[in-house]
Amino acid sequence: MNYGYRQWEGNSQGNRQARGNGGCQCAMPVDRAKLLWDIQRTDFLINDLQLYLDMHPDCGAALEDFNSLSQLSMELKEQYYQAFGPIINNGYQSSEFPWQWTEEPWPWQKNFMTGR
Amino acid sequence: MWYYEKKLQYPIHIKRCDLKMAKVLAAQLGGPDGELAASLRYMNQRYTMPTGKIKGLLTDIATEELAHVEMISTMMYQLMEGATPKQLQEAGLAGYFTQHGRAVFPADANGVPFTTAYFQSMDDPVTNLHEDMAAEQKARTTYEHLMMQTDDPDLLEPLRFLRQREVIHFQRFGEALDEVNFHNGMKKVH
Ligand SMILES: [Fe+2]
Repeated sequence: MNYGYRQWEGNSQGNRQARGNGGCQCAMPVDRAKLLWDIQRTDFLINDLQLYLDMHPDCGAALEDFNSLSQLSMELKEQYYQAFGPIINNGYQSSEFPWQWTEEPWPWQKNFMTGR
Repeated sequence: MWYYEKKLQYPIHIKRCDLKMAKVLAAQLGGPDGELAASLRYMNQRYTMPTGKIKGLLTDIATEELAHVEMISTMMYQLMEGATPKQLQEAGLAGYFTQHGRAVFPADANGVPFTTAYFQSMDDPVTNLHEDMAAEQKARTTYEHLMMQTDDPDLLEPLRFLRQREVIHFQRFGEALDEVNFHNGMKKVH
């Protein structure tokens, strides 16, 4: 199958960060940069599978990966939402008072990953 | 319609100031083979595509190209942020600074403003898909030219990522072309 898992996994930063914390559920402060990186990595794989599946709708293995990664992405975005507010606009996630969406940093700002 | 996700497709944090790279990166924002032209090309072509698969593919790639516009714009923004007029002048950006300051504006590496004359949209899927495949190759080559001009990993990693996406898009468009040819062959038989 020719979709781009390797593109992300082969990246030095990916190898360094993708290992995660072994699914530890302990109540540690959320590492914003790591969580964002995990979301970006997962959504990249999903996006790549999306294009692949557009042209290969009967590839069961790709579809299985797509479905499990979609589930993972939703869970990661829920974690992000709990810690930092909505990551998707227009009512995909609700807001606390006051309106959270416009809180900085925005993605093009240099401190976006760290939030500091 | 579209939703916005408050993240980049691939993280960008440029620490070293390199205004010459800001100038040439513009090629992939408002240049003839850049990401904005790519997104608008597929976005307009999708309406008259013959099959659900190809309508979907063009919608999805057009959407991803917008995320690439955002990445290139981010690189330019971060590179120019805080630069002095003198530094901008020395990097060949005096004209740019005069007309736009440090704002992001879609023009090419030579300052020529973006135009939709860079792409075509026809009611012939074979014609469109050939243009699309060529566009992906031209964008790939442009990324390679950009990568030859820097050794900063903060620039090279996102550029490598974007270059690889062009390769994947080319492949998907090739499959779409096969699909159209198959479709046309079937029509002739009946
Ligand atoms: Fe592309």
